[in-house]
Amino acid sequence: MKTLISLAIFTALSGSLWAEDAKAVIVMEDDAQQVWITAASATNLEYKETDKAIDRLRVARSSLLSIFFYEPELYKEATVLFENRDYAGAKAKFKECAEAFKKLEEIPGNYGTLAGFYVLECCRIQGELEELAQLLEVYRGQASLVRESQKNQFEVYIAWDAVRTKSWARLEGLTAEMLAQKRWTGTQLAQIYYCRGMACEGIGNATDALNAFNGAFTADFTASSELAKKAALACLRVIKGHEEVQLAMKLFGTEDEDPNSTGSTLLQEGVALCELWTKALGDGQALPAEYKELLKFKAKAG
Amino acid sequence: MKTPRILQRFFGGVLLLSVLLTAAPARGQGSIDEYWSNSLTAMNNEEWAKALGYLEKAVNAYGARATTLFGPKFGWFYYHKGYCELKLQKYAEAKKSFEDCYKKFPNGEAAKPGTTDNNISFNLYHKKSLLKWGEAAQGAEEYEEAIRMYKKFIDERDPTRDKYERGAFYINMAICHFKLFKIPQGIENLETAIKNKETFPTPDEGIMAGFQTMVQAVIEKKDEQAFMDFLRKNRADITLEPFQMHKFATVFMKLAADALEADMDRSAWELYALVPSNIAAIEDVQARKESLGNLTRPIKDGSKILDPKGLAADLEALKAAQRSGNPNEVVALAATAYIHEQNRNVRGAFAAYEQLELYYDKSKKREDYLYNLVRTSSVIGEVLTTEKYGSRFLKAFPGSKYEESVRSMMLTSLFYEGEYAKCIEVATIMIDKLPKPSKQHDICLHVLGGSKYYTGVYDEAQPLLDQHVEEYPKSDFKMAALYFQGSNLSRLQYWSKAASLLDAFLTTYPSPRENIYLPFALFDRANCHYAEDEMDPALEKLNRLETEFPTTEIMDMAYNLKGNVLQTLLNFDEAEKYYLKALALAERRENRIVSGESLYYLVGILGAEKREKEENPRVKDAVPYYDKFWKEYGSESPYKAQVAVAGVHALTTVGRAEEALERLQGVISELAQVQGAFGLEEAINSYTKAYLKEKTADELKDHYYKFPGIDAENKAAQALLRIAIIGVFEEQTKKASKERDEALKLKADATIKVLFEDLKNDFQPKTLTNYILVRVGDYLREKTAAPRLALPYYEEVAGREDQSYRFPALFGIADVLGSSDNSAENDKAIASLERIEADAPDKEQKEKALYRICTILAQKGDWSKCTERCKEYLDREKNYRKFGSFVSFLYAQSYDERGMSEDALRAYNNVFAAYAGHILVSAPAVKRVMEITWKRGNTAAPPAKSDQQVAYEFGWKYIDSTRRILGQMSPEEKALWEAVDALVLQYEDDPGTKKMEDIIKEEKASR
Repeated sequence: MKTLISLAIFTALSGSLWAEDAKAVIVMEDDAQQVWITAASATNLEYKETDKAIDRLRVARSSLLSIFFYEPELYKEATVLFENRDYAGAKAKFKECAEAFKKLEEIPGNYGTLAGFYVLECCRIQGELEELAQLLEVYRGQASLVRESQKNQFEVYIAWDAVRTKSWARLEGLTAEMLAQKRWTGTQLAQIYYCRGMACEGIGNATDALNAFNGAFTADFTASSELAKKAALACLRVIKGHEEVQLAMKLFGTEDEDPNSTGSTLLQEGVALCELWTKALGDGQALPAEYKELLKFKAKAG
Repeated sequence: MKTPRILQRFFGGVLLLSVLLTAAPARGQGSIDEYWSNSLTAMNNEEWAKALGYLEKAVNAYGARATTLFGPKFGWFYYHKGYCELKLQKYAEAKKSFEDCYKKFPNGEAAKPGTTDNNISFNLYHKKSLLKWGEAAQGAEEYEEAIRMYKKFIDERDPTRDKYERGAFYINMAICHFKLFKIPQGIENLETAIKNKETFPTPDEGIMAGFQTMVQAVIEKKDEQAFMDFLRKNRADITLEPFQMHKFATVFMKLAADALEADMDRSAWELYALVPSNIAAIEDVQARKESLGNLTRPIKDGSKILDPKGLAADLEALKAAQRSGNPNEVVALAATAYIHEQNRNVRGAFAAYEQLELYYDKSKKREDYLYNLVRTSSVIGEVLTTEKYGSRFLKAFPGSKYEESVRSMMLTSLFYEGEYAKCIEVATIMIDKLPKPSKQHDICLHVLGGSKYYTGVYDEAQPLLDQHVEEYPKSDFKMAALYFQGSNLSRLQYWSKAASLLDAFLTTYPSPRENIYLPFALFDRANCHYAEDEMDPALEKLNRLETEFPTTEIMDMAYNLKGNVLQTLLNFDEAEKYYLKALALAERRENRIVSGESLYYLVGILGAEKREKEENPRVKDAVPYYDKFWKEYGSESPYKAQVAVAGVHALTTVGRAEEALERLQGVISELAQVQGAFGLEEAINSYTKAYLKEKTADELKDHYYKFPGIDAENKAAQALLRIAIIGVFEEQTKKASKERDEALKLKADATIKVLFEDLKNDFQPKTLTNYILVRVGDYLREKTAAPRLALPYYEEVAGREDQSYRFPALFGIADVLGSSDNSAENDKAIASLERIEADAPDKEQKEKALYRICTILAQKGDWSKCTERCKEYLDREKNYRKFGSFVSFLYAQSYDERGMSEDALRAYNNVFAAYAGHILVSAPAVKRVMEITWKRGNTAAPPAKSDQQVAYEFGWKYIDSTRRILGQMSPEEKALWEAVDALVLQYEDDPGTKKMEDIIKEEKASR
């Protein structure tokens, strides 16, 4: 019995450890008030007037013009990690934040839902597609996201899921349709192009794959650094694996070399990409050893 | 390096004027109070010039005596004078004011911090003036001095009283170091400001100012690594929320452009990447604005300040940028394209330009971007994309300066990428719509002709190529056009014309440096020589190719052709050597078609039954090549039928006859499934020959009617098998005739007749191969009473792109039309025959054509031309013999018909002399000699003979010498012979004729 009581206390404590009150300003028709929101439902808001207050008040959400949320510390910390490209660390912090403000998920613009969104982004950026697929079930807070492009990202996740399941033919069609729309941010375009590159490579269309991967590392000027690197390496993979490139490599420097052949042209494209990797695309990382040999095939100028 | 405006705003905005209100001014000095009061009011109203006016007057009026009159506290006037000057960017004056404040009005010993004695004059701004002195020096771009003053301030300040904004201080220190290119020290200060952002605090604007100066310094010093290291450590602090970051977009764009100019591509990308997407910025501003509802006052959230008014203004500006079609992404994407192209990744540039077109098609530079999209797509060979965006460009920017270039790229990119079908599709539509002459028409005509050439539509290509050469003699494509023209003619087998054009081409463009078609032209020319049996010049061209262009892409084909030439010259060992060279080279280049071709030649040359009428000792050597072919190339090579055929003898020799036959049967079944498959007929013929070694013709017939793998619906293959059966029965007919086996002959002829009838009735010409069409045509023309029925069969062949059997078909047509009574049809026939005579690869075909020309001219009664062409035929150099007797007769007849009796007489005499045993020509020739001579009627005194006596004796002797073969003559010959005999008798009865019987008697008597 004692154990049970302890357990109950622990559960209550841990719940309070995780849940945080959200500092906010509630804006009414003729007034605005700084509050600490303790809970929310579809219709009501429960809040305290001071951080340490014990009394909780209720207000109908319909009586509020808007709610301004102050950025929670947890979210700030996660964002710093995210912007510094520590996506594993950021994911853990965002998860914590999402959990802490879960109770606010009904309210548009809340930081819990936003943190949940960034958990998905961390998975996506790190290529953790299995986890992404699972977490999509958990963080289905599109309704509370207030930025359209963030809502749109859930459609981009459909493409990523097709990458996960290697449904190349379907993905090829899907990305073609997506690219025909004009509502994506550069970062989303980079993702769609990348997924398209994977699809085209998967169905053996090397040229379209190269075009799409090039689209991936140009769409947001390498702001999506991880994706840009993956796309550049994917180009090198496609080029190196191309039959005609292999023949061009074999004939390079011999009397049978044909510098105008498709293979030679692609080979030189590969060389240029290797150099561009070192110069800029690789974000300071060394060119993987498997592609270094391409540099041996650099055509002499002129 | 000028101090940017953002910095000026920043370092000037940190003074707290409220401090003044608590500081004690000079007491009861009348006007000094007024100066103090007025200047303070003006400063509070940010009227810096006005305030400065009061402060200058105070300093001018009291400055000299101030220490005496007011003590250190007069420093207030100097400090604020400097402050106003700083605001008005009078940095030198400000520096002096702060210096005066610091140097002239130090606090005395008594003026300790925290003193409460109001009688002690105290300069509150004494140490602070050092900080401001630093700022003024910084404004004056005297950074060393600024740093010195900042440090002095830190050293001397009273921590309890001399408060300062630490964020701004460290930013300014950083900026000064960056300006002096002391990058590590600058970064240290900037990082201090950033790390203590919340506690100092450091405003985001300040961090951005410091960052901007750092970037300028690293660009100037090209120290990209320092920038990258900084970014790696502080990216989160540099990356603000979109609603804040967009304000710095212009700065980042400028810095990125500077980095680009300094060839720091990575830095440029990093800087562009810091610029938020316009859409993201709009959404972020909008979301934050909406969260504030109807609030009008700003809300501070940590270091962020959310000002409803500012957000509304920002939102409007961002939306306007979006509406204008020129958000920041446009510039960044264009720069990205530039970076990729500069670094030779044209596909990257293409990708960026395509996004500019797809997502920012309202940008003010769209014309340039779209043009670049067309251009880069053309460079990377995305021909259909070039076509798509090229069309879009032409529609959107009619009359653009790029218009001509776009048009060229659309077609030329398709052309140079080998998209010939698409070229034909596009150029065919375009060509009639283009003005003539024009650059566009020039390109279009060139591409259309060239595409038809490359796709093997040689008939249609030729007029276009000819037109191009004629209409655009100065075209940029002139060299290519001339080459295509000659080469295309060679593909059409107009050997002599092609040869002369290719010779001219080779003379006009002899330099390999300028003429990229030179090796190809040499190859084509060699091919013409080979086709015209000119082996030595063919070798000369091929040797040139070998020595001057050893690496040309057609070298493997050239080796094969050289092998063909050498083989024709019976130089088998050398030929074999070249086939092996071709094989090695083609295998190295993975040119599988040529490899298969080389193996075919090797099997053919080594596996032949005879070499120059002798047994071939190398037959077994063909087997390894036969095996290699089937192992490595058998599944795809177009030469499989030829190899299967060529290898039969070799395999039979090594005891693998059954395998060879099976292989042949397999090839026949396989090729039969492919419409127009090359080599099928040879395979069937070879199979037939091999099959008949063991079986009878009737068994073959049954076997072929149920050939494994060829069903009844496969008309082309079925027809080939029927023809093969016909061939067998034709052989039987010949054999029966020779052996005078009438029964067998009748049976064989009947079978042939039925088979041909079946072919005619059961198969539409379109379903038959050229070979079958010619065979059926020939049968109808030669063996039936309705030769005109052959025409559709020949015409089908002549109308096809497939050049095989073209000359036999043309001959068939000419032969039928030549026999017509219609003069126009005769002319058509002659034209066709002229073509054959000039270009047919087979000498026999040429000879037959010229002979037929002579006969048609005779039939037409064009005797003058007939004389000419007969003479041509009889020219010894031509070495034509097959129709020599008939042509000799026609030659004589032509003179005869033209009334040139003496020439005719001489020519008929020659016919008789050369072909006395050939009754069909000798009999009518003798008859005409008799008639002409008789008619001439010259008399002569004995012992000479009169013409009439000569005519009689000439005829009598002919009849006498040929009478012995009368029994062997055909009815036609017999009739001709009898006509001569009758004339002899007629002349003999003439009273003036001395009979040969008498002459012989007299001669005997005289002996």
